[in-house]
Amino acid sequence: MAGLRDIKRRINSVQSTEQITHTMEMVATAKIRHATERIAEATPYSEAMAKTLANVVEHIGNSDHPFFRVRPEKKTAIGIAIVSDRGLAGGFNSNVLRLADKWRVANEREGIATEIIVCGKKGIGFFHYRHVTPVMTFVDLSADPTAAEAREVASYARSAFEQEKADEVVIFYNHARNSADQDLRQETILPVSPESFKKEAEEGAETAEGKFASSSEFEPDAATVLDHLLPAYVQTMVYHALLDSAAAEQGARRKAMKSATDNASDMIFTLNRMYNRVRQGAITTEITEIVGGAAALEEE
Amino acid sequence: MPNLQVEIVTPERKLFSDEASFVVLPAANGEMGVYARHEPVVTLLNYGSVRVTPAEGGDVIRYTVAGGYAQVDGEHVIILADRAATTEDMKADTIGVKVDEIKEQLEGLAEDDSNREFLENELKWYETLLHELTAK
Repeated sequence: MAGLRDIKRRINSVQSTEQITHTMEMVATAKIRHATERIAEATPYSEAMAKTLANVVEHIGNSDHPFFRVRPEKKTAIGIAIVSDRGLAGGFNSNVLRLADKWRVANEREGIATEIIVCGKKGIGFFHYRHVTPVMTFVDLSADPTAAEAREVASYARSAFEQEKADEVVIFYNHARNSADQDLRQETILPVSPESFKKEAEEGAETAEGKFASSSEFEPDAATVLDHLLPAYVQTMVYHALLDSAAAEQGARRKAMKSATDNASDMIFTLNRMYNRVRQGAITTEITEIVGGAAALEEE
Repeated sequence: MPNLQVEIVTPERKLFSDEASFVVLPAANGEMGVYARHEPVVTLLNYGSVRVTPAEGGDVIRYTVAGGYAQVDGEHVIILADRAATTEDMKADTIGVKVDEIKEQLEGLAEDDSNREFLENELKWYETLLHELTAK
């Protein structure tokens, strides 16, 4: 049985771990609020945009814009994996990366040349280990994604799509369902599916920005407006995925840290009990020895 | 004359929201002035400046915008800019350095590089800012 001193040392070490994980839990909780605020700030723009897009498409009728066209034969593709810069967030990173990698491997098996864009430090190591060199990487932005980052990613994806260097662009990220749960998401951002913004437009119909885009005048004309709106919409989708992922990251980290803290408390409880038992055992042994010794003396 | 409710929204946040009596937009076919009761229109925006005349008087508020579009109806003007900023606390020198940097990067890039479009847009944005700064 372990000595008293060993047990005490373990208790101390688990206690300090508990303190750290508890602090990290609190930090993550505070950051969730910041991340959700950023999503709220970005919502007016994306809702107004979705609404206008739906409106323009309706106005034009059946649009045959290249961005809507699904290519019959897929030869090339780009995958965008959004993960975090830091670990200690449970399965947050590995879930996304595993999904993205499975997609990449499946693509290559079918002869589809696949490029990967990684946002977040954790993804770089993952793909490096698998001998995949991402065409574009972003680090130190996962907790605070910028519109500039989204602009760069979207620009690249768009140009590649237009120049037929990519027939499909897919984005992988964690969606923050609420502050505790995350959903893994895989979305095709190019070609654009008209359903995606129609759905968003309906959801946003209640807000001030959404409700009055029903004008029928377009300047210079509806087709040109659509030409400009679609690329901006792609960028908005990327930006939203980044923001969503940032919120999900904090949620995942809080959850992971909470269970780590709970585990540590349980462990401290068990260790304390063990400590007491060993201490009592030592006392009992000592008493028995004294009593035994005294009895032996009396017998003489 | 009734007032207009003007909002300038970027992908990141709502930048400006206030009442105004008159707004000038850098629309696709040239600058467009909007008073209340303007006919409903959706227009694309160029790189340029948005000038808002506040409803309660005072100085004209200027924002530099890069592309995007504006929705106008009789009471509202909503500007959804890809980028927007005030040039108030910017310095022409630092923007000039930025312009040169991007030009240098562009020179080293292949004609069909997928990153080209991004850099060209960056260049256009900083040049617009520079133009705004020197125009004042």
